Amino acid sequence: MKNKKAIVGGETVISFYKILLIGLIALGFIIVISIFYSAKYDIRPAESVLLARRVINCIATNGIAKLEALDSARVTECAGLSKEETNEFYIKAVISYSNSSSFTIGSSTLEPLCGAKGKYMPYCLSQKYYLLLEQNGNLERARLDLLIAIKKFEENV
Amino acid sequence: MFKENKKAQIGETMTLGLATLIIIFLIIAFVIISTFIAGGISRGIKTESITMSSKEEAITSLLAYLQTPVNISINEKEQEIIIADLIRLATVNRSYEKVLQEKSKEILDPVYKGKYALHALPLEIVSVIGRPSFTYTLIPSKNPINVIFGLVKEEK
Repeated sequence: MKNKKAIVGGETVISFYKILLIGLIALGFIIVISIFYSAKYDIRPAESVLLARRVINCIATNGIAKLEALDSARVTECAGLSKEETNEFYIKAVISYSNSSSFTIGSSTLEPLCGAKGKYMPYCLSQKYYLLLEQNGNLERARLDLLIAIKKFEENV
Repeated sequence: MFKENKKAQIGETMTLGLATLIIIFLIIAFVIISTFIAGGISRGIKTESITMSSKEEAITSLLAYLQTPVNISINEKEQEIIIADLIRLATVNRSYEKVLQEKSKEILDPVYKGKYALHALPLEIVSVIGRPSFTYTLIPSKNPINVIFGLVKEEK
């Protein structure tokens, strides 16, 4: 009789211990999953590259640009940029050839903030392209400096 | 009988204790690994690599470069040909390799200031020290020529 009680008592302790272990494993799962999925990603670099691609496709198809394509209204329409979003980004394109031409789209206040470090600063992408500029049927060597600044620090981070 | 039971209990308890230690060790290892994969708690926000950005620049510039007209002397006659044709010519006649190198530098140096690598296999046109992210295109020919172009960009 005494032995039986001891066995029942021992089994109860072991059962509690096993439940505790299962709880520990479940807690481990929760911790690991929450660490993994709570990691914050800044997708603005990817967004800026995609925006640059759209702008380049509007300005220069297959590396050949046309002077009349270097117009902010044309590029805005071609790249499908909505007017409500213009406060959230800034695009500056300067094309240098025997002459020089440029256009800007969006909020110019973002440009001076490029390079500044801080949590609520825009992400800036600066690119240089070698292009050919078509003018009156002639091809001229040109260099395009493209700056894209994206604010959106609340939506996309 | 009593003694035998006690011995059995010691074994069972030790097994459970060891199992507990293994489980705790595994949980700690998973937490460390997931923290590392997620980029670290203290490291803040992760950003994507800029490789994609430099590849975009490279492919557009490469297409423009291949279509750039240049004047070269062929059989003592000044002729205008595009770079893609000059590459074809240089793969057939290696004496044009130097002309190709000069013309390529003349085109690309004002934009990239030597921070690029350019190969048109088997020709090495311009080579740089650094880690360029390469992009490539094929020039149709009897044996298609693989033109590889890469820009060296510093991670911010």
